[in-house]
Amino acid sequence: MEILDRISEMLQRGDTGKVSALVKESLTENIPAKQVLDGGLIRGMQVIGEQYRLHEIFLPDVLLAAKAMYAGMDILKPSFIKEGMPSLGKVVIGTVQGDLHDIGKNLVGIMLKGAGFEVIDLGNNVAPESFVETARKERASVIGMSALLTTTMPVMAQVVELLKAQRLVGTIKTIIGGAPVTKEYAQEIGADAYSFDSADAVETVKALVKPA
Amino acid sequence: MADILEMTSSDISPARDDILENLGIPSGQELSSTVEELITEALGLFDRTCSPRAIYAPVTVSEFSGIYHGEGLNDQKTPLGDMYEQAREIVLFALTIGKEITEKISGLFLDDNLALAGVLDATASAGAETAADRVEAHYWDREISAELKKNAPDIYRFAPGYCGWHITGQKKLFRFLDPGKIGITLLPSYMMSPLKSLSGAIIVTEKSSTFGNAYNVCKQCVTHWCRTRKKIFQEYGG
Repeated sequence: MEILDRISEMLQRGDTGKVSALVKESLTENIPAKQVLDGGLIRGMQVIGEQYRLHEIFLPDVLLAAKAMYAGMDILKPSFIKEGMPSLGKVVIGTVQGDLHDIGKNLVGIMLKGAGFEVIDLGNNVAPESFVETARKERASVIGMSALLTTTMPVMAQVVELLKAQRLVGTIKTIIGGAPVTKEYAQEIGADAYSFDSADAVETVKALVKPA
Repeated sequence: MADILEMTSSDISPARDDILENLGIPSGQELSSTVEELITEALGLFDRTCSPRAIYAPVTVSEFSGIYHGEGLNDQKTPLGDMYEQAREIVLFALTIGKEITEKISGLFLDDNLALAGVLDATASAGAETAADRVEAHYWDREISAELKKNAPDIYRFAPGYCGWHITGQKKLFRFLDPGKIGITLLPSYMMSPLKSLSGAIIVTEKSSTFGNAYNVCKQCVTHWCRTRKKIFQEYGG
């Protein structure tokens, strides 16, 4: 559908105004909101995610596109009031306790939203109990944790231990990342996955929520 | 005795290439007019919201030895560990560009002004590094004797958490320097608050080194900023 192609294209250009106008226009033309979301907004963000992964575009381009996507989603939201916004799953994210860095975590959240996940961002300096409690209450599929300091990485292990204690391992999966974090560390603490950047995080979370 | 250095935002206005580097954009890359506008806007916000201050104090080799060894968690062999005993000058420093700019960045993210938030964050990080360069240059101009300058010594900067100096080294550095005087606090995780703050040691030495691969940390390092900084200082500062 031509209008969905245009939404995707304008989103890739980071043109918030045009994306908003086209999303409104598509609803006026009675195109189902789910189709606008998948075929316009998410499709555009997928292109952006792939271009970013290949270093063809850079962080500001991704953030401009994400802003356009959010604007489009805001217009679509009322159409989903009854059944809720469709999503690939809920992901609770945060920077672990003792750590105030949040740019990397924010970027992961933006990319996940762009891919069609519902993201609950707990911010930074998040206690292990808060991750688990929120994920349990919200019936989230995945907890994503970020740490930029070696001294705060053990908080990630505490979250995994809490999930084990509450017999939630397997129900709620864990993914970790951040400058000092490694795949080996993820294995060592029993996290389900490790990701080295935001584009990779999207693919990894998709794999985590995929039915076995 | 620690001295406080008050700076202005224009003193530490970061170079465009440093902002781009923090955004993962290669030098010389052509940018869209929208991204150019974002950088201009971010620099304006940086100018209005940052309030840079630094505290610094010279220390003796024996004082620094206690600070450097910290909680005993450093790598076994580090460039700083092999260098400081021969240093002609060692200066501890801490600096911040203030709380307001960090709050501004968070606020922009919350308002979904994502691109400006990202570019301002990159600008603030580059500005904090520029502030550290400024502290280095200030110390060089004011405190290094003409006699030592004649010998064209090298100047290096190290920070706890990098180059094999364990982050727990912050504890003794903070105890000695008291950066609380300029509004920096140390969290139990050894992280500094406000976020855009830096601390470390400036080493002035006549024993030059590019560190090569003699150290594991240098082998693993991808930036080699120490070498770049040294070159820049030799060209413009030293």
